[in-house]
Amino acid sequence: MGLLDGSGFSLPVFEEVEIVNVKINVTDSAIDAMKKSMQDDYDTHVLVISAEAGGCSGYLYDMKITENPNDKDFQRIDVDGIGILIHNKDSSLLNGIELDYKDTLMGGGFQIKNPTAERECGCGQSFG
Amino acid sequence: MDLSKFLYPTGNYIISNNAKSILSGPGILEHLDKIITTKIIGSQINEIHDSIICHSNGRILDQLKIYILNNKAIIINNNVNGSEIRSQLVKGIPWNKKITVIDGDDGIISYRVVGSNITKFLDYVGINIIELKGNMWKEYGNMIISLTIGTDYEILDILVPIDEKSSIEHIMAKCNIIESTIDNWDMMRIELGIVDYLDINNSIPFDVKLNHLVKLNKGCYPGQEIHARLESRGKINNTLVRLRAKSDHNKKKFKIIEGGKITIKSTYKSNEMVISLGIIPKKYENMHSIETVENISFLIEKLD
Repeated sequence: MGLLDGSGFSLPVFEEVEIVNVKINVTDSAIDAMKKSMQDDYDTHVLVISAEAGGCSGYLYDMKITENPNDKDFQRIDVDGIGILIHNKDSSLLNGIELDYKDTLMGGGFQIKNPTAERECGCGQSFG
Repeated sequence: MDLSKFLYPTGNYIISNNAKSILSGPGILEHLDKIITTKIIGSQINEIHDSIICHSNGRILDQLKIYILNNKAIIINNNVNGSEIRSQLVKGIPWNKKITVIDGDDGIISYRVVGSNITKFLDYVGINIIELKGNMWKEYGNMIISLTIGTDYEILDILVPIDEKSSIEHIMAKCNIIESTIDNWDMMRIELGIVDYLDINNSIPFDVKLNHLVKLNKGCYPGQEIHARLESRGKINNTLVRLRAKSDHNKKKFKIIEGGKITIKSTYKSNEMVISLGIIPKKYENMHSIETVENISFLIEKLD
């Protein structure tokens, strides 16, 4: 069944994603906070920063501490012994970001400033 | 305008050049839900989901008809160019999700049949019209068929693999459904109030009668902040209507003498009349006519 299961014709996969060499800036407070979060797992774990659909402006940031996926589609940035990974598909969206950490009760935690974002929504979670 | 010659004995069809994409993989409904203006999570296989994608300024990027299959969705745009939507769909896929976006433009043909007696076609392919009600699609061989019911007409949307073009056109001929010219199609859709990409592109959904495709209680999507603000402040001021003018005109914007403006979206000409779909201030919607500074009188016809 051509339309229903995709057989009968082969169609091009759409992969129009620009890949750039990512440079990011991490503040000292963010480095300290990452070290606390990762404890002694620097060798086996990494911080993955990514962008995915969502929010009022189109994309949402996501950050995960995870076991190193050892995937060649990630770009690795080492900061004070900590591995930060950004997937190639997110490279154009996240290139140039500054990762900061604010130690406040209201609105505290990791913050991302993105100079290439054309817009951000009020909560700072979404950008486009 | 008497449309009977177009709607009878069975109908007219046009091959629409609208962009077609296929989204496949687990979690596609959750992915789409973050981008479109309606809630698609919870929709079932065989459903059709109508929705919009907006820019973050709240204006329409495109209107979509989404056919839900098992771990797959066929997305039919209103625009002929699907690259912007595909790019948005691809960029937003989380790195750990196996979702694929396929360009279906060269593999699928989309037929749109408008008529008053399309059951003739459905009888031929052995589908009972009841099976298509409630926004459901049905398969016939390799075709996917869906139905939209208007006031005096019905629309069948038929998706077919490109190599089966001749067999579907053979069935159409057997059922007295003839291919429409572009001019006739524009006339028919303007008279019936069927909106095209040109009518809605870059408009606020509330201004082009697409309020039903904006769900403010579903959470964030691009443009949601703007839509919520317009709605909560009662700033839904414009609406789409059909306009008839005796004077020939090519302009797209007119100033209304009593205040406000008319924005013409699409037009056809017939017997010295110019018939258009256009956006006017909502306060004039129930009036018989409006006069413009440019000395043109427009008769107003409210759309369903």
